[in-house]
Amino acid sequence: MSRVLARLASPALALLVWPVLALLAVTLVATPASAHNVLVSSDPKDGAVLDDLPRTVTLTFDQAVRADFARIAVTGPDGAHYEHGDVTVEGGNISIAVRPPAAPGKAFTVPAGSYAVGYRIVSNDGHPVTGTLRFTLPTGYVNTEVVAVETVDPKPGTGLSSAAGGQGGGGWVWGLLIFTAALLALSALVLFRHDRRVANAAPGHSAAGEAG
Amino acid sequence: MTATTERPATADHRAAPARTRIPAAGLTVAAVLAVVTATWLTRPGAAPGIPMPGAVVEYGLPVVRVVLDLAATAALGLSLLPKLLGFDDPDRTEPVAARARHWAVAFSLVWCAAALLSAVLGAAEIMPGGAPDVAAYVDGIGSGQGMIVSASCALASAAVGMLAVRFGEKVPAELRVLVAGFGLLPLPVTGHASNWYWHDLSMVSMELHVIGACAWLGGLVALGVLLPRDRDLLAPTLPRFSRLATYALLVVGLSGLFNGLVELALSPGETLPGSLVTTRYGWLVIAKAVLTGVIALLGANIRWRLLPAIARREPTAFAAWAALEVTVMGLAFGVAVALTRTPVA
Repeated sequence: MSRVLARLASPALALLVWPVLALLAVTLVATPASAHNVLVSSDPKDGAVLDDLPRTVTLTFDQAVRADFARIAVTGPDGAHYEHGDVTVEGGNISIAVRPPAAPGKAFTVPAGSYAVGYRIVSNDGHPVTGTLRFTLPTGYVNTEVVAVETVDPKPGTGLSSAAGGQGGGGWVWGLLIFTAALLALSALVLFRHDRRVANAAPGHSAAGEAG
Repeated sequence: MTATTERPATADHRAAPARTRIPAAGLTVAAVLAVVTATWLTRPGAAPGIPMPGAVVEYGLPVVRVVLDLAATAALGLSLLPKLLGFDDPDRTEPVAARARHWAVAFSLVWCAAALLSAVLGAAEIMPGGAPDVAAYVDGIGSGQGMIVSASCALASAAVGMLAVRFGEKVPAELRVLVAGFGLLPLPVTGHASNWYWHDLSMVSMELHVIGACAWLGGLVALGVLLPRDRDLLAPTLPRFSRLATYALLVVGLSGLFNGLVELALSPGETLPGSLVTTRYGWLVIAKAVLTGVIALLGANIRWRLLPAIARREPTAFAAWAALEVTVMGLAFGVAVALTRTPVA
């Protein structure tokens, strides 16, 4: 056995081990085609000057966006939230409806000024991608057609997708975490006790056993 | 004979613990400093109206990732040490090897704990403003799974290392290196991975990069901490490491350059020569290239100026130079962690 291992350890073969390991990793571990999403365009464009509020804000990324965890917020110059309902995701496009924060049917003065579109998605490689776009309304106006937006969604317009409810899937992860933590504590204890035993034993005794 | 070699080794260990730990301390401080600075430089601005993770998560996650990388590196390097020491003179090498086996287990445990903690922090990062749902994170996102796989490998590495602590070098060093090396493989998956035509090639290159860097730094830390003043051991060991380091420099430099440039070239909306300077990702790539150059110079200094004297068993400033090189490597590791998290564009 040890002779086989010694042969394995010859430098030429040892050099081969790493590429083989790497190939193994690609086939075993690598997830298919996951990468960082990048924002490529938007509607309205960043810095656009508009006559009135857009009905929706759409952000286009270079590749498909994960539907869970995607968020968009539209903040007006008055600090109020102008987005409404849930984020919808279609491939690389994510969009959200925009509506003045008033009860349907009531007139609302849409203020002039700069509106910020903040977004945060979780990229396909698991990293969050955050950014801000702006558009400007040079003149405010009184919005009377709120009724036209017929959505009767009772949710306040936070733009949160309801993704976080992961109670169903992934229960095994918690079991694994607890099991691993217990194992970790046990290993640390064993190592510690072994240390003490070696320290208490006659010096050189265990080393002589190991060297042979 | 064994008893006489054992006693000076432990006495030396107890007499000057502070000095032998200089490389380890320099490495850790440099890595943490680099990652915090790079994270601060490249952190995304707040998006109005969107809940963002707190500073604990924003800085804690990269720091835990650096701890993970360093612990994994140390575990790999210490497992590698018996191969560098050779098996010709067990009486002389055994005290050092015993300490290496012991610390390999300890670092595997740190590695495992850091991987689990970074899974929790990773979940907190993508679910700001609420309790992190680690289960959904690991279940749904590849980097969560990568962390869990790495933690499992770290635990396996600790188990094999524990056997080695108990039974000595009868547990083959190759096995320990393989298990620890396998635990490194999921780590690149948790960073950027591009989905272009040559996806597989860029993944292989990234795996080689990580393994090469860990073997290089781990080996140097093991040598710098465990045997800087043992001239009789250093003389046969350092040339072996020097050969490993040369290959590692080539592999790490080329694969790192390749991956960084590919990532920049494929990012939409940026053109390559300019994006090296205009994007923060480009800055970090340049920083890493500069650090690699500095490390290469320091390595060349050890190889061509110190190695002949070390081979003649003369006193040299190897400990100091190794500590310096290890510290610069720590900076590179810190930048590396920030690089895996920085948006390309």
